[in-house]
Order: sequence, then C-alpha cells, then structure tokens
Amino acid sequence: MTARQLGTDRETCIGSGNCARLVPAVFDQDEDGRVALVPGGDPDAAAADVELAVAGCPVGALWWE
Amino acid sequence: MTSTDTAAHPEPLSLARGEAKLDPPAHFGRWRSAAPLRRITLWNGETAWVALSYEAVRAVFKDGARFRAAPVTPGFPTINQADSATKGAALLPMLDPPAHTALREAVLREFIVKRIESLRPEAERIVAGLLDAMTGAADPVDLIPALAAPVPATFTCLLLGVPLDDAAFFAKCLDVRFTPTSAAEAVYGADDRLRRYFRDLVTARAADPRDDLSSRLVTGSVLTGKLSAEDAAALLHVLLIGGFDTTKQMIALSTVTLLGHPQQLAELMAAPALWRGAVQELLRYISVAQVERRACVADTEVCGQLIRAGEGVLVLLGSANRDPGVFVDPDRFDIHRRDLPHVAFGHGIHQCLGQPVARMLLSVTLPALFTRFPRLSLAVPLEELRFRDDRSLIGVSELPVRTRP
Repeated sequence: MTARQLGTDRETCIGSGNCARLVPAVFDQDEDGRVALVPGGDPDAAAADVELAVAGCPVGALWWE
Repeated sequence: MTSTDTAAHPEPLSLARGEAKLDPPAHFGRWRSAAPLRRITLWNGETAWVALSYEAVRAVFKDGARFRAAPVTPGFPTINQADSATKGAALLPMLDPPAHTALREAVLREFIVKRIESLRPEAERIVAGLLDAMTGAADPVDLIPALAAPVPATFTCLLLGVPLDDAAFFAKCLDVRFTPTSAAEAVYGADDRLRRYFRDLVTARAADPRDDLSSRLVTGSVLTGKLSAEDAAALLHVLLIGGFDTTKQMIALSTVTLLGHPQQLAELMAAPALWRGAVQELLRYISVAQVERRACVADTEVCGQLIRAGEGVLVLLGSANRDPGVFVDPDRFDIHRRDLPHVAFGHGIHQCLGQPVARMLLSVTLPALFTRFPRLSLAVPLEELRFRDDRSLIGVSELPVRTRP
C-alpha cells in the first residue's frame, strides 16, 4: 500500500488559515497568507486532524489521497 | 394544502426564536428535516430559497460562480428594510471575482494566523484594563459596554491604526446601518459618513505612513497602483464592520452559554488547553451571523433541488451548524466535539477574513473574565434578556451580570 500524498493548491487557497490553525505541524501559511506545507511534516502522525483540515477547507484547496 | 399551493404561496421567513434563545428558530429544524432547501416569502413579498442543511449551505457558498454575492445581481434577496437600502454597496463580502480577489489579496497577509496570534499580548492588555475597571464597579455590571463591545472595538482601532476615541463614532454609524427599521436615507447617511472617514484615512496615511494595517494597505496597494484609494477605503470600512458587532456578540453570548454549562466551564478553568475546542464549539453553537445572501445566475441543482437563474438564496448558517446529519446531538453544547468544521464563518471564497482575530480575542477574553470573576453570574434570568433576533446578526443589547456572589 502506498502512502497517501498530501496536496495543496496555492492558486485556489484564500488564506483562511484553517489548516495552519488546526494542524500547525503539517500546514503553515507563506508570507502572502497562502497554504504552505511544513518541511518534514508528517500528516500520518496527525491523520484525524489532517482529514478535518482537508474536509473543512472552504475552497477545497487541500487533498490527501 | 397541496404542494402546488405551497409553491405559489410559500410561508414567510421568520427569524424569531422561541424560549431557547441560543437555539435557532425551531421551524428551521422542522424545515431542514423536510428538505435541504425550501422556498419562503421575504419581508417585501418576494420569494426566495432558504438553504438549511450543512451540505446545501456549503454547496451554495462554494459555487461562487453560480451563486453571486453582489446585491445588484437579479433576484438578490434582502431580509429587511435597512438591508434593502444597501443594495448598491460594493464592500468585500458583496463582491464577486475578480474584484473580490484583488481586494482580499491586498489584506490577506495581515490576517495570517501567526501574525494575529503575535498580537495576543496587546489583546491581553486591553482585556486586563477592562476587567480592572469592572473590579472597581458596583454590581450589577452591563457586560456589553464593560467588556464585550470595547474588546473588539479597541482591538480593531489598534489593528487599523485609528484613534481609540473614534470607536464611539463607528459604533453609532454601525447601529444605524444595521437596525432593521432604519430608513433608507439614514442607512445611506451612516454608510456615507464611514466612507468619508476611511477616504480621509487613506489620504492621511498616503501622506504620512505609520506602522499599521491602513498604512501598509496604502503603501503596498494604493501607491503602487494595484488598488484605487476608493477601493482601499471600502476595504478598511468592511474590516471595521466585520470586526465590531460580530465579536462583541460572540463575547456576550459565549458568556451566557458558559454560565449555562457550569460543569464544562469548570473543566475549562481546570484545563486551559480545552479553550481552543471550546471557542470552536461556541462559534458553532451560537452562530452569531444567521443569514447570508446569494443570487443564482445559472440554473443549478443543489442537493437534488433545481435553483433557477434569477432566484435568491438565504443561507442559514445557524441551521447548517445544527444539522444532525453532521453534528452528533447538535443542540447539545459540547466543548469536546470532534465533528466536521462548522460554517459559522461561512464557506467558500467569502469565508470570514478576520476569523483568526475573532478566535484570538475570544480565547483571550473568556478565560480572563472567568479567572478574574470565578463567581460571575447573570443578574437577570436568561429568559428576561432582551434578545435581538430580527437581523442577520443575533445578539443581546444588554447583559447585566454580577461579578461577585
């Protein structure tokens, strides 16, 4: 079984900061306020929260599959 | 009554709440269990849809291409007279892309979660000063002017970089603007005074920039030609509207909610790490903004219901946040909830820009209030609180509390 890939769409992102607030170990905001992945962040270590962040993104700019 | 009759003469939309003031109107629940969307009659006799279920609310918000936010869109619904007077407004929440995109972009970096969190000490200082004043005051204290109103007002002034003394002027203009029965001329007048205030502010900051949001907006966007001075002024105007009454009512109604759930409050005081989840739950449970508006511009199916171009949709956030299909035992206040994220801040491209500010202010103010006054209680029975439920933002106009037994 291959590990799920966490994906972000910076163009779609509106910088709500929901993901960065919910899982700061995995998601961050760049200097423009848009989503950035934390280098070396491990989504599997916070799987439940990452799933909530993906489901809750207001513009569907996150996926994990 | 046959279904044809219902379609021709749908029930009027009432926002009035029952005895349980912190619960959305009971008919929202009945309507939602019948269908995710429903036709209703508006205050002016026009008909529109209400989106009731979590799925329908998220779908309408997310499809910004078909469900437009601009009040000039044909079929755009209004909920009262004051609301209808602002149809020509072009503030951020009432703009569609691409105008919306450029404006939101211009201040996005100001609302980065970490940036707002770094202002926590400023908020703590504001709250501590207000609690000091309450400590010296005689009981009962009205929590609205003592704490709930000045916390967001002072912080918003600080953020925008305007004199704290101007907060009273802002409050007065916003009161006229959002009182449902305000005459059109009064609403125009209040809007106009605010518009002029922010236009003057943009001019002043262009001439003499300081270290504040207004100055950064002017130097970063106006002086570089990305935004007009008018656009920048409108943006500052909407940041003011967004931050003032919403957070004020959240502080007041969160206090009421927590006092009504003493066991969970005791848990929070014993384990402050729980406040984070509690703030999230307070936002869902209270849902201060109960109605958002959209107009459909192309026939679209939402949750199996066809919405036609030219039809309006009132999006009922509080109803979606009590959808039993998403939230387990939705009418129960539960700080340990692990359900899907609520839609109290909206969804889609218009989701509240200032939400990190709201969360930060709540997570500073509420613990500080209950730490300073561990015996805090309502000075009048809950049912006697004058509850305002006739506008898009719910709330109380007074909140008498006792700070000591």
